Formats: sequence, structure tokens, C-alpha cells
Amino acid sequence: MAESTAEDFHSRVRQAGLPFSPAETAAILPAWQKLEAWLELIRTPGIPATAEPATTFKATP
Amino acid sequence: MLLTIAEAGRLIAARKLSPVELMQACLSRMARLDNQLHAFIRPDAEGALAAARAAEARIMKDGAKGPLDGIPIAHKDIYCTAGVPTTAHSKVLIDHVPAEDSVVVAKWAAAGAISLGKLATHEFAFGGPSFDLPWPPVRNPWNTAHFTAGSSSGTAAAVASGMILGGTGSDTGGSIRGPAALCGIAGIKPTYGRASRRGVLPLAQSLDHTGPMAWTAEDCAILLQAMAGYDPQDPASADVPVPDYAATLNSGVKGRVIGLVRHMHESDNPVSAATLKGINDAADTFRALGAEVRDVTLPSLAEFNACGWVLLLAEAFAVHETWMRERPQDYGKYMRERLVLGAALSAADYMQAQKRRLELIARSFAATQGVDFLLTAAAPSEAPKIDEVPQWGFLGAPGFTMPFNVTGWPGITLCSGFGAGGLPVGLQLVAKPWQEAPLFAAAHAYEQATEWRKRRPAMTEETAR
Repeated sequence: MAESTAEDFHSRVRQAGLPFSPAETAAILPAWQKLEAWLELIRTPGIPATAEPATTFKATP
Repeated sequence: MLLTIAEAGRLIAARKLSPVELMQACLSRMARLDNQLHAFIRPDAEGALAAARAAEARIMKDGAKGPLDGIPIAHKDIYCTAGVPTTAHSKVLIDHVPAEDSVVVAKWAAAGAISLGKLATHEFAFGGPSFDLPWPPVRNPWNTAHFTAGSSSGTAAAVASGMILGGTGSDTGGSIRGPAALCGIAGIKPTYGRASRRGVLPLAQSLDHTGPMAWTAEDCAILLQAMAGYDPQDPASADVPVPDYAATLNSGVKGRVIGLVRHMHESDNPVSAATLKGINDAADTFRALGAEVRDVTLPSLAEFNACGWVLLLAEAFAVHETWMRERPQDYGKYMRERLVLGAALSAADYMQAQKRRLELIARSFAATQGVDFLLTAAAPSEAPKIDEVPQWGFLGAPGFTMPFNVTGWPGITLCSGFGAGGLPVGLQLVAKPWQEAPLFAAAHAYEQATEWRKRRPAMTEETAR
């Protein structure tokens, strides 16, 4: 997975509704790129599509 | 002389120690030291002294309720306190006055503990150390130029400096165990669901734990006893019996199996020489006490941290979404910018992390069959200087505490020596879910077999003279 560009990252932040300027998000971009490496690690090796998440709940009171 | 909760509780119960004099000693230390440490953001000396007088009169008449009766404590400022501002150390909640106490605050009060006030924290238990908040960051009592770690920074510094005998912390990625390590005290993150989080401002609910911090493991056992238990109004709370921790505190480690998670502190994130010596010496101590120590291999620190931090960032943003959209300028720079990372994550990112989490938990159980405890580091080294802590440090070398927020297993930090700079280093001892009682016994055995609990920060010795 390629690292996000400043434009990609700013677009994500604006989509989340945060009033940050391009300069403000650009300052955070290096941290986001480190987090992207962790996102890749989470997906490696691939997780079966049918794997249960830890959030699965029981329908008990 | 600085007393532990166990020591003070015994003396108060025997009417050999006045709760008022004990409180006055703590308040005297607060008056002399807290202008250097900044552990308290809202002290209540008058209220604490009045409560100590009332406790003394009651104890003289009826006897002590238990080991916490008349004991000076304080609460991290994310624990709601009725009628008293609870700010999370943030301008965002500067006017927030809860109507009710959090469950843990109420439980400790019912046990007779007396609060000296509200303690500093990293902003919302995440953003720190920050110099742009309504209150300054906390300084380390062993050397005030140094960091305490966080986020339960005020509690750690207040306990280490003897201003209180114990206090509340919270732990989402290590916020009890990290500051306990850097300030040379004990702190336990119990099993997820062991103690109620109701009335505690959340950071990331699937990782949030409440827990106690104190000078010794024995004191943590006393404090956890008074805060643990099922709370049907906390969705994460588990209806699991709470054992009598004092009953088994002296049961030691003979016959126990301790898994040394060598890869975590030797290769995943190599620790300082002093930290490594502390862990290896602890392994020798446990062997001498009758335990078997064997190497175990868990998933890597990187795997645990990747999973845990994605969950934390996503859940934290969900908590702060509205405020971040409407008033981001009211946060400190560290908290505001860290939350932006959570905003940029996708729903799929979050769910893949929750899927990986279940797998990491399963692998951890499989790797530790027949093992009672895990032994590794709590922090990589002694505390760095407070002005040298990087904003994005949590994205760098993977931490030692997050794995057990991901699994929910209980972990306790203990002081295991001192580094070249004279500041403490710590180890982490971890148990399987609900095994806090044997964990306390192992921790207590270690503290009894070593000398580390006899050394206090120099600033407290000056106060004691």
C-alpha cells in the first residue's frame, strides 16, 4: 500500500468534518504515514474475510 | 517517615496513629513539594483535614472500617466527583461539574479513604506532556527535570513524593503502568472488566481500565479490593467474584511458572542496561523463591501496538468528534493533533484491528499454556527529560504495556532498580484474566525479597527531616 500524500490525508481529515487547513494536516502527515505502516501490519498476513472481530457481542442482558 | 497504606491502616486500626496527624503530614508535603511537581490541579486541603477529623472521631468511637479508613488518597481528574470540577486537565471541560461520583470514587469513600483533591493527567488521559494546557505538566519526584510518563502522571508523582498513600489511575495503553515505572511506584491494570469505569471520562472504551497506584503491591491489593466488583451499569464489567487479596498475599511463587518474554525487551524494543538487569535479577529472585522461569514467545510488540493504537485512536476520536469539529482550538496541540489520526482512520481499518485483536488474544493464550505469569519490561528505560519527549513517541519503538490492554490481562508494574541517572526503572508482571490474587502474591514476594521499596525520592527525605 502506497503512503498517503498530503492531499490524500487532508481529504480524509476534511471528510471527518475537522476544520484543519492544508498546512495543519501537512504537519501531521509524517505521523499518519507511520500509522499507515501499522495498518499494513494489521492486515499482514491477510485476515480471513469471515474472521470474527473482538467486538462480537452476546445478546444477553 | 513515610508509611504505606498497609502500615498506616494497621496503626490507625490499633489507634496508634491519628488520621489527622497522617493527613497533616501529607498536606505538609503537598505544601512544600507540589509547587515543584504540579501533581495536583485541584487540592482540597481544608476538606481533607475536616474529613480526617471526622474519621478520627468515628474511629476512636467505633473502630476502623478497614485498611483504607482514614487513608489519604486522591483521584485522577478524569474520575467524576460530585460537585467538584472534573476537567480531564483540559480547557474543553474547564467548567464541567459532575452531579455524581464515579463508582470507584464512591467505593473508596465508603471504605473510609479521604481525598486530598484532584490530580493532574495528560489531557483526556492521552495528550501529554503538554505545556499549553490550563495546568502545567507533572514533574518526576526523583528529578524534576524529568518526565513522569502518563497519563496518570499526577497520581504517580503524588504517591512517589508521599503527598498521598495511593490514588486512582486509568490505563488504556499503559497509563498506570508507565508512570508507575518512571516514578518508582507500584501500579496495577486489573483484568478488563474487573473494576467499574462508570463515571470515568473515557479515552477508548474497549481498552479503558480503572486501577490503583501506590507505593507497594500490597497497597495496590488493598486499593483494588475496595474498587473491584461487578457493575451492571458498566457494559464492560464482568460478573466475576472478587477474591480476598489479603488472604493469599503471602502465598509466594513456589511452584509457579513465570514466562520470561525475552523477545519483547531484548529485540522487539531493546531496553536500557539497568532495565534489563532489573528484569534478569527479578527472574533470578523468582527462581530463588521457588518459581520456574522459562522463556515464552508471544506475538511481537509491533503487532500488539499496531492493533492497540489503531483501536485507541479510532475510539478516542469517536469520543471527541463533536468537540473536535466545533472547538478544536480548546485542546492542547498534542491531544488535538493525535485525535486527527483517529479521524482519518476508516471503519474497515478499525474492524480489521478488532479482528486481529481476537487472533492476538488466541495466540497469547496458546503461547502461555502452563504459564502463570509473564515477566517483561514496563518501560524501556528510566525517565527522559520532560522537554525531550517526542510528540509522536507512541508511533516509534513499540511499548511494553499495550499488549495487555489488547488482551485485557492484568499487569502490575514494580520498581526493579535505578538507572545511571538515579531514576527508577520498572518491570511488568502479567497474569491470566482474573488472576490478580496470585499476581499480587508474586509481586509482594518480589518486593519483600528486594530492597527497592526502602528508597524514596530525595525530596521526600528533606521533607521528613
